[in-house]
Amino acid sequence: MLNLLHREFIVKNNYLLTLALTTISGLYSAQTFAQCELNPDILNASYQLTSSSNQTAKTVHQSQINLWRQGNTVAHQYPQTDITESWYLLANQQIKPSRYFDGYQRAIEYQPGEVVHGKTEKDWSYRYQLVSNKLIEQLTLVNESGQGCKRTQRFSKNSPNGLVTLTWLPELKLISQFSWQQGKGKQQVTEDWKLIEVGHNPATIKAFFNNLSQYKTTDYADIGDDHSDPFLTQMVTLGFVEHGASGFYDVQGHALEANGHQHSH
Amino acid sequence: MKNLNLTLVAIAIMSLTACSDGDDGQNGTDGSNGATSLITQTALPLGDANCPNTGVRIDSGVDTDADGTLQASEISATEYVCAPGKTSVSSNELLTSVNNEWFLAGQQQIAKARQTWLNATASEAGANSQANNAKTASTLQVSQAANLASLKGTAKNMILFVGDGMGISTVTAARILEGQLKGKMGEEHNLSFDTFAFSGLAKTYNVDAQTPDSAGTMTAMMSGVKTDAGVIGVNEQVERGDCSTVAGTELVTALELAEIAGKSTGIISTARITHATPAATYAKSADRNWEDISDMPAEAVTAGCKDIADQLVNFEANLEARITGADVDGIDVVMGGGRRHFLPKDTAFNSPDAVSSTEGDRTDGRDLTAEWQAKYADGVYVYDQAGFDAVDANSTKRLMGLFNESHMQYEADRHNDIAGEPSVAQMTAKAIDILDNNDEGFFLMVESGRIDHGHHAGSAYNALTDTIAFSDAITKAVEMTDMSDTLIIVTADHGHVFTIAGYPKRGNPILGKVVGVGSEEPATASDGMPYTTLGYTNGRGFKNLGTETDADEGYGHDIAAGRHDLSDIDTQTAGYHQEALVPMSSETHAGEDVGIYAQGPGALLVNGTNEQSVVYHVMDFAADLTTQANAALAAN
Repeated sequence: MLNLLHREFIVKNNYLLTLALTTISGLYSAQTFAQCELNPDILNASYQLTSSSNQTAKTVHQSQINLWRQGNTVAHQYPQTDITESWYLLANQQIKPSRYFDGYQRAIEYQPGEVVHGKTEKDWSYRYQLVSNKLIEQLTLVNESGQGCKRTQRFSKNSPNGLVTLTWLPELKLISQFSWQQGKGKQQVTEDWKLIEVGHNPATIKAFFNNLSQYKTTDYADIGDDHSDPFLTQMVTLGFVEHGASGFYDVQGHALEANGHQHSH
Repeated sequence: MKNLNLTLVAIAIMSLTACSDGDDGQNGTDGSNGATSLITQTALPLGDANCPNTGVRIDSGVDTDADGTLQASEISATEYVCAPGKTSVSSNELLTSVNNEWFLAGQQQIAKARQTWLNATASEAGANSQANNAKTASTLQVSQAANLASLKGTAKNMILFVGDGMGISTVTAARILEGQLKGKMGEEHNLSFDTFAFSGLAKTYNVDAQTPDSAGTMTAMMSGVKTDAGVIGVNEQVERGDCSTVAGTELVTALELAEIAGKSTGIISTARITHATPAATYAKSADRNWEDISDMPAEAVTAGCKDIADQLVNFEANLEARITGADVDGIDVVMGGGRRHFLPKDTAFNSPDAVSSTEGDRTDGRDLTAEWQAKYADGVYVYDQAGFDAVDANSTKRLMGLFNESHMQYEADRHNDIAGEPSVAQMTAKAIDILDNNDEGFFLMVESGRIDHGHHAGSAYNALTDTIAFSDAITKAVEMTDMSDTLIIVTADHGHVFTIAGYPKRGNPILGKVVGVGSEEPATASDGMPYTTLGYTNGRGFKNLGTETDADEGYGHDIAAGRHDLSDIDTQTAGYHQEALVPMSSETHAGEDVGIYAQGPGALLVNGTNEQSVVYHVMDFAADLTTQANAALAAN
């Protein structure tokens, strides 16, 4: 059943698929194997995020997010704000978050099960992939193409809440392209993510995480103990309190309200 | 008013007494009529200035104007006849008081307190004589002085319980919560240490801070010397963060004296064992944050300062090097969290219940748990509940338990720990079981470190449930020791800006919204919204995390100080965080006094309002630590 739908949508969405395949081919030109031999757990990927709104005048905002994976550790790096968030998946499936303030070489460590957006962090796929499995399951597979690391799936869903499209690299568990529209006419808001770079160099990835580990860390519970530390006392204005990591979906994979979303931290 | 004519009376008397035997003379000329004397009586009401209990005022004088009335100008004398005052009441009149349960309980408390005082102050020889014989004040003073002197050194064992951040309001609220969890109204309930015979207050300020931190306060309690905030085991001459200023400022702690005196020693904390409070029992550091070498500035390492974890593992050698003649065997029992400060920053050293990709923080490659085990062949190192349970207290001479990478769990969250953790009561019992194998006695410090963290996060639930767990640990200590030879002191290092407010009716859920006397509906403030009994003056403010038991979860949300509509919110859940007035990234300590509660030999020294450093001096007196330590040094 899925295959039939797949072929049907290849024709209908030829233009979008071509764009996606062009991007992926460029990223994986050396990968022609039927089986993908790249380890999705050792990976770094950069996305360009474009947010546009028709609400008043046409406005476009661009930013970047870098995804880093090293085994059971994942990091989301926001270069514009010098903040990196990281999560470690424990053997018992609990998730331990950490937040790194790159401009200050300081970090805050949390206990496993830390709350983000008012919910306990339980969905590893959301942090690992930037989009949760629960969301993907809600989408309709439009087509599938390629092989090995380049195997690509295109999903879509048009609901009263808006249009969601996802170009997905299942072998790498990686977003290739992701867009989301909400509203119509002047009320329309569009978010779009494009994969612009992927790396698999263990040394580069190790160096990134090693650098984070050099930051002076403070246990979350200790924030109140030392009011002589200017960094801790000013954490609020430094961006300690922030909105979603990706901002597009909450931990359940539901799209967030457009007017509540902020890329900056 | 009554007027009496005394003229006629006088004439009558004269006629009865004017008799003689001579001849009668001629009648004289009648004189003119004399003036009439008058007397008036005036009844006086209750409360009169001259007769407070009522009476009569008697005015007398001559009616010079013969109008038959004694005018004020005619009064020549005034007397008062007052009713006597009421100096006693019958039992019947007092029936409503003497039969009242509070009255009876109060009387019994007085009798108990008197006996407690006599028991505590009387030496074995003089106890009965003092109780039974009336003595002059001077004799009594001499006797009491002698008795107090005889108390010195009577405490063979000492246990110091420190509830980090357990201010007076925390004790009160925890007492009520525990009572309500037991099905009582709550207010009448007592935590274990509420029933201790002696208590006093401690002024908590640091030498350089009106509102203190744990480092300065615990240093005062352990060393008898108040010092600056943020420094561990050193006096105020040190400059925080400057290693070069440490030399010469090191203080001697009660634990160190106990070690030198030959007692067994132990430290327990539900926080990291390198955290400020436990660290002040054994370490000397210019900064409380130097918990491992990666936390220290390079110049401090180069200058020779040691991190706190290093100082714990090398306590024995350090003390012997610092005090000539000291021959100690190291701290016998160490239990708490903070494994990260003892392990190298290398995944190969991760514990099975590590919660970070790399558990250890040490950048010098040292595994201090291994060093400790190499140093003490008879030592047992455990890191989880199973290991803890397997420790045989009778055969174990030395125990190190590091149960968490960082702080141990909140009591309410303990069941969520990966490998399991013992409760503070379980750790206390195990420690006493091991330490009391020494005939010379022991010193044990037990800290409930996460009461403080619960408050900082704005979670009364976590702060109070940890206080209750702490009270359970004290119960265990009381059960396992003999009050005749073990001094138990319970206190806090500082309070928090935590309030019990409004006018809730008796038995109102302490975590609930205020419901006034005679009402079933929550009271509303002037903004029309309900409010909770418990609240904070500052901090992150309102959070409603439902059944979440980890108070730190509240840090993941925007600060929400000020008022919120609580109408549809269950404020009694574990995840509810109380409202706060002043928005801050974390709720703060308070500068108020804290309670000191004591029982056992020397406990009577705990009374009145004291500098916090008095805690050390009470322990030193009760166990005569200094004398015993000096004797041991002299003998070596």
